[in-house]
Amino acid sequence: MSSRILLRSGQRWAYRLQPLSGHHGLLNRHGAASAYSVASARTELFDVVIVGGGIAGATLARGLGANPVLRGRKVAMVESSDLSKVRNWDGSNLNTVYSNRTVSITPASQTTLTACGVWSEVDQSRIQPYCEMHVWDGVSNGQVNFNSRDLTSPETLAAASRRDGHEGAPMAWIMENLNLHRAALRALDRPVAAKTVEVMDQTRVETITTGLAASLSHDTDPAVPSEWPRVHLSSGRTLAARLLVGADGANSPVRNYSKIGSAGWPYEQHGIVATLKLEDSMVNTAAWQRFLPTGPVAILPMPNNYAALVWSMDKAHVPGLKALNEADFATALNVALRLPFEDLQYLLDHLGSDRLNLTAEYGQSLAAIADTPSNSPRASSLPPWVARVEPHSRASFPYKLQHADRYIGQRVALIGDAAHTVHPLAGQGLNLGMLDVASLLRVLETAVLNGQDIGDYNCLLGYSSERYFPNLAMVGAVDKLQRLFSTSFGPLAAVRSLGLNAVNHFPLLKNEFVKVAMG
Amino acid sequence: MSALTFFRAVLRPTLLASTTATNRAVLGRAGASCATAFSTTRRSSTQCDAGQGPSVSADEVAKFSRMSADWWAPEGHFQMLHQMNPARVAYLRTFVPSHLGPAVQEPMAAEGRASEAPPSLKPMSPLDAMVRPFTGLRMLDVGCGGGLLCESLARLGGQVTGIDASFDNIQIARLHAQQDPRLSDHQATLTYQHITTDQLKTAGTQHDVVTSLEVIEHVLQPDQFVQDLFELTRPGGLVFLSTIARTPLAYGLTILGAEKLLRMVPEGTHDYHKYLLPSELTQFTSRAGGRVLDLRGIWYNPLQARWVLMDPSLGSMGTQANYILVARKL
Ligand SMILES: Cc1cc2nc3c(=O)[nH]c(=O)nc-3n(C[C@H](O)[C@H](O)[C@H](O)COP(=O)(O)OP(=O)(O)OC[C@H]3O[C@@H](n4cnc5c(N)ncnc54)[C@H](O)[C@@H]3O)c2cc1C
Repeated sequence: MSSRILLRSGQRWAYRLQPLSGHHGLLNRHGAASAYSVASARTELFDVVIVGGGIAGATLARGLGANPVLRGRKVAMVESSDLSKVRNWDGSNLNTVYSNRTVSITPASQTTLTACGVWSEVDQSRIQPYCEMHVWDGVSNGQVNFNSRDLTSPETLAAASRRDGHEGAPMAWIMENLNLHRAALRALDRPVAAKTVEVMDQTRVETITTGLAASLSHDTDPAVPSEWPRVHLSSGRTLAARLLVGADGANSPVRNYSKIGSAGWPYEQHGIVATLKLEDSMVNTAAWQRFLPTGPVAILPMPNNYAALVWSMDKAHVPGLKALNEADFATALNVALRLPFEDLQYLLDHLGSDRLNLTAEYGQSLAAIADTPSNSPRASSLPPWVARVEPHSRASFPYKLQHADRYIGQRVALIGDAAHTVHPLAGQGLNLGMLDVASLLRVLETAVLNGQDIGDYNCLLGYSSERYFPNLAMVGAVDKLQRLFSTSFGPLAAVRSLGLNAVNHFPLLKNEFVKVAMG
Repeated sequence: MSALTFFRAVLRPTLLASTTATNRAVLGRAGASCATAFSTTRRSSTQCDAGQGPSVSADEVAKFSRMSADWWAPEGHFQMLHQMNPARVAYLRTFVPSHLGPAVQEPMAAEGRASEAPPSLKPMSPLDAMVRPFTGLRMLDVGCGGGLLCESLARLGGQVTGIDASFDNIQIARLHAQQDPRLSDHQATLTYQHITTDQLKTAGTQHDVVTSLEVIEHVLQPDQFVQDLFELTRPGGLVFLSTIARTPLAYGLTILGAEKLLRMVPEGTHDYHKYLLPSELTQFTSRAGGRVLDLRGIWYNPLQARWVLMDPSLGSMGTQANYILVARKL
């Protein structure tokens, strides 16, 4: 210890003495080599260690690598799963046309993805932009139709149509998680980022310890700053991090290490996802969502008249719905989309009973609606007709609401699902994560330009003050929506209907909604 | 907004930043000598070197480590000062490269710019100029405290010397810089010295940039102090000063509020009469052979938890409490 903290060096202190000056700085016992390369055989120094190589983590890593101001930092991204599976995914190794996990990406997220060099790596043939969203209430039949043109100024619209060749800027894009994740990883493989970022996949973070604790034990390593967190990996390596970023999902080990609590609860609803084929005659450029007391059901457009299903459902009914054969599942879904809620309720109550013959029970009423001529005024406000569900495409996920008490600690920042998980009804989960990435990159860039230590708490405060309350507001708003619509209680449903219909008729209100939805 | 909320949100940070700047309130022992040090106290050079003798005991090291950790604690007594630092560095960034910086390898930028860059400076790429704007400049921070500003300047490429009349502060600063591998390896030049301006003057060293932020209000002879700063600056170089204006508002913030009403700092920490009006500091500057290039206020924005530089066009409206100026040595 005493050899480390020398309080004297002849006449005066010199932290750095250029090699040509002929005598070396105290700490630079290794000559001109950077302290980063020589720290120790056991502990390696990194400016940023990102735990979690999901979409949020990989986009941040690439953003750090691509930013000219931040370049030259040493970055590690640690991921427990095998990323080559995502990297080598080409869509054809699926047993369905499209993967069932999809996200809706807002223009704000697209901006971040573009700035981080990820967007250009997305397979554009597998994504679907949409300009319209129809939301309606299965109990009251109140309806609101959003259009990104509601929001955009005429000039922006004109520019967008010149650029994209279609009318209006999209409200959002639907794409497979895998498509986006692969794009982020490919972007990371580009030389510009590869120089900065070391990707360590198939590597688990086993424990994280504080350096201060280590410095009390005999295990201290003089070249490693005592205050930096140490990340111990399953590969046997130990990384000391100036800044430790938790992009490690809802059960964030980084959050636990930092003793940052979180508040939240599991939802009674789970989500069923699936890949759907829609009736061929439909124009498939709108997102549809119907709120039902059992949970909202969303049909999100994919190319070639496919669609992604996110059906939030009381968890008790989920196994029964998943067990239906494909034809019956499609029928049940059409019931949920088109018939009064009582019909769906009856169906759910009799799931698994032999006496329920879905086609016999609902075929006629569904056919009556389906037969509405396509040129009739009602047709445009009708939800899509689900022709079939792709074999083997159904899966389900539990939902939970969770919000970290803080996003930062000394030398720690949380982003993405590690900081917050929301009910997917507004399609915001990953989009909030992208806003986190953009904000953190901005804050770190400013910190570097002002000569700050990028792990310093006071510099990270900028990130938390930018993101904490907006995210909390969104998490809360989405939760309230979920509660509001999960009831069939008469007066409330009437208010809802009034609400939605009112929204539909007041352009200003509508704009506000669209703005939230578009990030 | 009730008076108390207003105090918490706006006044408290403002006065914290100004009261803690030279550590008096917190590091009593160190601070006591610090306040009077610059123009008057002379801790002999033997004393400061002897203090760092070859056999510093482990106890001493542990003591300084603890003090260093306290000084730099993210939510500790100096948090407001930490939060003020980016605004100060941003201010330096605004003036130093444009007046003293190296030529940037861009025909547009190099032309017609009357930079007084030291002749030794090599032209830089635009990116290097952005990331290490102080490259090659000799910078001196007088009253460096725990090294907050010095570390930032060194990261931005400056050849930085921090001096402080408090031995404890210098040890705190050294230990902390040692904790950052990028400051302690060959990429940065950062030297701390326990020495007064008088002693440094005798050595005859001159610097491209001299800073002394939130220090002068603790100095006995401020006019002499400003004189010293300019003597340590080479002709054409820049001097940065910041302090608190002697206004009723500043009195309310830092003395009535902090000391008498809320007793957040010991009574007597501040001496209102030592506060300097912008006009006075400008006068000292011209007497010392400098010309003020810019002067503006710095205010705390409680919503964003950060300090912001006021628009100079606000004039004296913006400089009622904390303010900063830059002057060129003629
Ligand atoms: C049904 C459903 C529909 C959704 N729809 C949308 C939508 O339309 N729009 C939207 O924006 N969002 C949506 N979301 C949310 C979105 O999928 C998530 O917010 C997003 O995937 C989270 O990304 P992330 O990178 O933050 O976390 P994750 O993807 O969870 O990544 C965390 C990573 O950390 C790794 N990790 C964890 N622990 C360790 C360890 N100890 N060592 C090493 N690595 C570790 C994990 O392996 C994982 O790869 C939906 C979610 C669900 C469930």
